[in-house]
Amino acid sequence: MKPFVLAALLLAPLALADLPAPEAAPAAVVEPAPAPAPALKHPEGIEKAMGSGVIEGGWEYIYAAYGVGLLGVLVFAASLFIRRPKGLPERAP
Amino acid sequence: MPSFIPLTLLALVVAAIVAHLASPKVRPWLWKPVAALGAVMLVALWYLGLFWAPPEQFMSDVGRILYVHVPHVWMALLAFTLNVGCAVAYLMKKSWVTDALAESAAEVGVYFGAVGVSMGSIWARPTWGVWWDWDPRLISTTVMLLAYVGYLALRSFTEDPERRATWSAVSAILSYVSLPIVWFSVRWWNSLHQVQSNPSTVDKPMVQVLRWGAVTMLCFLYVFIVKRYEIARSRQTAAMELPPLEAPRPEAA
Repeated sequence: MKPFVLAALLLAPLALADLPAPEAAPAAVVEPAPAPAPALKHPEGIEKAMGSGVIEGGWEYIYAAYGVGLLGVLVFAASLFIRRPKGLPERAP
Repeated sequence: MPSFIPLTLLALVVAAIVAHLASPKVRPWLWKPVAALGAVMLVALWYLGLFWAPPEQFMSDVGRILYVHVPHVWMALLAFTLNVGCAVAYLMKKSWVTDALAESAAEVGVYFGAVGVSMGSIWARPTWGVWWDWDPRLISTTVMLLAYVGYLALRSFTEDPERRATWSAVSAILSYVSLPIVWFSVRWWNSLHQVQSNPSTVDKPMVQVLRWGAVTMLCFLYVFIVKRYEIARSRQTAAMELPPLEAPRPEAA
């Protein structure tokens, strides 16, 4: 038994000889911190054209919409008046 | 304004329409105080919408258009619902009353819808940057209005009153399919138009003005429908009195 154990111990390194040696862990790469972004500034002053996200003005549209509503009521009422029946039946059948 | 008041007012309008149809005593005068009330409320709506209500957070003053745009579209949807109700009632039990009421509701609905869409277009120009955009809500609304214009055209092109009533009742039911598509279009698809608001997402003064506008338009909805109904009834009566187009042929001896 002992000769077999000794032979196994002697041959074991030979069996592992073709395996590559474990690689060393790569060293951590420390990237340099990015340079701070330059301030947003357009040569033509585009930042001045950027609004605040709120619509400004527009009263002409508001008056137009309310005017369309009033005009609609008047025109439809006038059309009903023009088409009104001359003699109405007293009781619907 | 408590939340039950709009529904109560809506029930009152429906009751007033029914009273107008059923009672000859009510017919000559009930529309007059409602029309006067609507006119007064319309003037007040102008003040409330233009000056009293606060500007919207992002739309600012342009948001004031919604106080007249939204009630108009609501009234169109209500009128089309009345139209389909009358159409179903006609098919279940033939009656010239429901036929005439369906016709008047459709025409008034088209009026409110067209004005509402026009207001929406005016609102879209400063908000979206365009007068019109082919997004799901606008397309479905256009299809709905065109369907009801087709309904009215069908009525005007059909001579026989009974056939006209039956065909248009079926057409009304088919047209009404477009209404839930309009309502849910902003939820089903990615629409530029915003989804429906509710009182919990809108500032209280804005809700009050919006409801004021809805009640104002309810008054006009009632007056317009009952006056248009009288026109439809008189046309029906005239059509019944017309002699047949062809004289009956004498039987062969």
